[in-house]
Amino acid sequence: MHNQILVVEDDRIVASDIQQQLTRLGYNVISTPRSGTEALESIRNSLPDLVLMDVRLKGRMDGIETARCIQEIGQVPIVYLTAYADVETIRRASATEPYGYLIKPYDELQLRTVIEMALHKHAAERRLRESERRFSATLASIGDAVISTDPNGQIEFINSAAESITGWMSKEAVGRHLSEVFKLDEAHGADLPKAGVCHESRSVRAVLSRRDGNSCEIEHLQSPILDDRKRTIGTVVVFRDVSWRLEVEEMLRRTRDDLARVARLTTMGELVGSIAHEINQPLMALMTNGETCLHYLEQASLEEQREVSLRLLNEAKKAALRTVNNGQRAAQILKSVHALSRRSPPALERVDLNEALLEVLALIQGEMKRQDVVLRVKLESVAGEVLGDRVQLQQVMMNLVVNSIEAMEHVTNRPRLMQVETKLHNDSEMVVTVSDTGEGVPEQNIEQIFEPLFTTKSNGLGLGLAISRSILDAHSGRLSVLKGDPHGSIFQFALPLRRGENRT
Amino acid sequence: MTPDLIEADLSVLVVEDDDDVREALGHLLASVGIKVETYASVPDFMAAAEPAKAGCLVLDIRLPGRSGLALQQDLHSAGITVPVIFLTGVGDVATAVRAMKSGACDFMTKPLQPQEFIEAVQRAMDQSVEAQRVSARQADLEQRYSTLSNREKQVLPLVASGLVNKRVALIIGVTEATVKLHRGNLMRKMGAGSIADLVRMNDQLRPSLDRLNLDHGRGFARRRSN
Repeated sequence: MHNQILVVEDDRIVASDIQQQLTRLGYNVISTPRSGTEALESIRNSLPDLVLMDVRLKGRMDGIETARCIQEIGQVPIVYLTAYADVETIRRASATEPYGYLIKPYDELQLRTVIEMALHKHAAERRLRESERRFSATLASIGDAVISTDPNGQIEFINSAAESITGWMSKEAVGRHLSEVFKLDEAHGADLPKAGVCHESRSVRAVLSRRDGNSCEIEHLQSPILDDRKRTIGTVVVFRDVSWRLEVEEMLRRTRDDLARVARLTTMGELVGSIAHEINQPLMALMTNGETCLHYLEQASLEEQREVSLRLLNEAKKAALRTVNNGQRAAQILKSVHALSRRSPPALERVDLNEALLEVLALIQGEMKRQDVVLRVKLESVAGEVLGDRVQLQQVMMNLVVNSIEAMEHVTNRPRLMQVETKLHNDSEMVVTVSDTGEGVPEQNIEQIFEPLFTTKSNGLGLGLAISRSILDAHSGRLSVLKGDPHGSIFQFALPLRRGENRT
Repeated sequence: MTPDLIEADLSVLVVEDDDDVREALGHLLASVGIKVETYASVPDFMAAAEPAKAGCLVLDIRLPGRSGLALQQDLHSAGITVPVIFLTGVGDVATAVRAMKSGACDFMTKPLQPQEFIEAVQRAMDQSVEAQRVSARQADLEQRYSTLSNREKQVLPLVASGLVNKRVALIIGVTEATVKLHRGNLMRKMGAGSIADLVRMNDQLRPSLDRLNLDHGRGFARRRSN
């Protein structure tokens, strides 16, 4: 492809001469306008690859003025042809950033050299501009916010994502110091050095103060900008808005709590029969004792001997006292049920593990009876208090105990024995153990049983152990399972004791 | 409202594992003058109770370890026929039916109505007393029967089946006068006031006769073949 050259020269002979030279050199001369006006017209029609411009042109515009006008139309390399170069002319000419000068007289070699150099330089610059444009477009379109600064921390560039997060428009931000625009809340542990140059390898969470005063949770990462010789020539800060992420984390936490509660309620629902039985017992005792009391009162009212009637009244009183106790026992069961089904955010309180365990065992008495399970309880004599959410810890206990009972459902050739134990360990933690003589856990499933939705029961949800483990994790405890000897399983969890209260 | 007091000094044996319920039942029965012994489990019961001498048993169907049902079946196999009342939780109907089929006297679902419970116990006790009376009477009969001579033992069923003295004499091969004598003696020994009494006694004795009198049947058969 031949390069298109425009020759602007008012001297016809010179113009013709140049044209011939150029043609010989293999260039294509579009035309040879004699004035600035003509030149501009030609350029408006089609942009040449290069313009050879006589500095002196007759007419309203001289070569330099014309060149300036050409720059406004498009990026065309301009080479000046000049007979002599005075300081003033050169100064004016330089302002138009020409790609070269040809000083008359010049020979063909010079002509070719200057033109070639100009064309190459122009091509290189075009590639560079192209590259810049591409990077610029990339920066503008990435979701992350980017701010770059010079070595002193003055902002050189800020992309649109950064504009929207910080609230600063590019026009206003460029030139300001980074700390003005990228303001981190001191209270949240910001340590952005004022120099603006920092080396970090991981994103850091921080709170940004936007221009309008509002805060925004972000993650940011700073890196130095290095030149070819690895010298630092600025800083680039990349950051993103993570407040939505925090909202999601909070929602996840709440969903986990809800799920735990649902699992708890489901278990409670399955235990309704057992719970009803538990309440039935004290109610029956209460009615019976009431009737007994009435009998004695009736007899006392008919009795004439004072001694005998006093004895009868005493029996009546004892019966009445028994009814009060029976009522309290029923009330306690209901209290436990209510506590386990209430919805409330997890609370941290002092929990006596022995007490909590006994409450849970009371609720499943009926179920144990129905399944012919014998219970053996061994409690640590020293009261061990842990810090945690009582309801959730009881949920874990209930889960393990119900699992044990279910594991022994099909056992017929040996006693169905469930053993529950609490023990102090190393003076620093309480260990709760629930063991059974059931079917046991097959070797290959030992780790799987803690995964969500894993179950070997036909009507199980498979969530109990997963939730139990996550509850214990949140309490800095751990849950483990061992094979029972010779049958069944031993589930165990340990919780750290409340500090400063290891013994009563 | 005042319940009848039972005079018999038979005891009620209660086996119930829930402490409150057991205590309440014990006091309830005591308040109407019934003797009661309470046990918390089957092993406790086996160790100390004398079920054969009891008026009735009250058992919770589900007890830790050995169930109430199993205990009743054990007693049944051992020939102890004390009436048993089962206490069952709501929803245990299938088990209750099984209990009744295996010879229980009654079953009640918890929570019990105290008055109904007392009435059930009284019925069971009455049944016991009656059974005792029947058994005592039978023992008496058997004892009297054993005092009869062989001849008298021969005459008894014949007279009881309505045959006249003359006929009996012919069958046995003795005189009418002898028959009359035997008849008088055996009626005296048996304590029968009339032929009707004798007929009843004979019926009551018949199931035990094989046991009491091994060669009676053989002798009679020989005679009939003549």
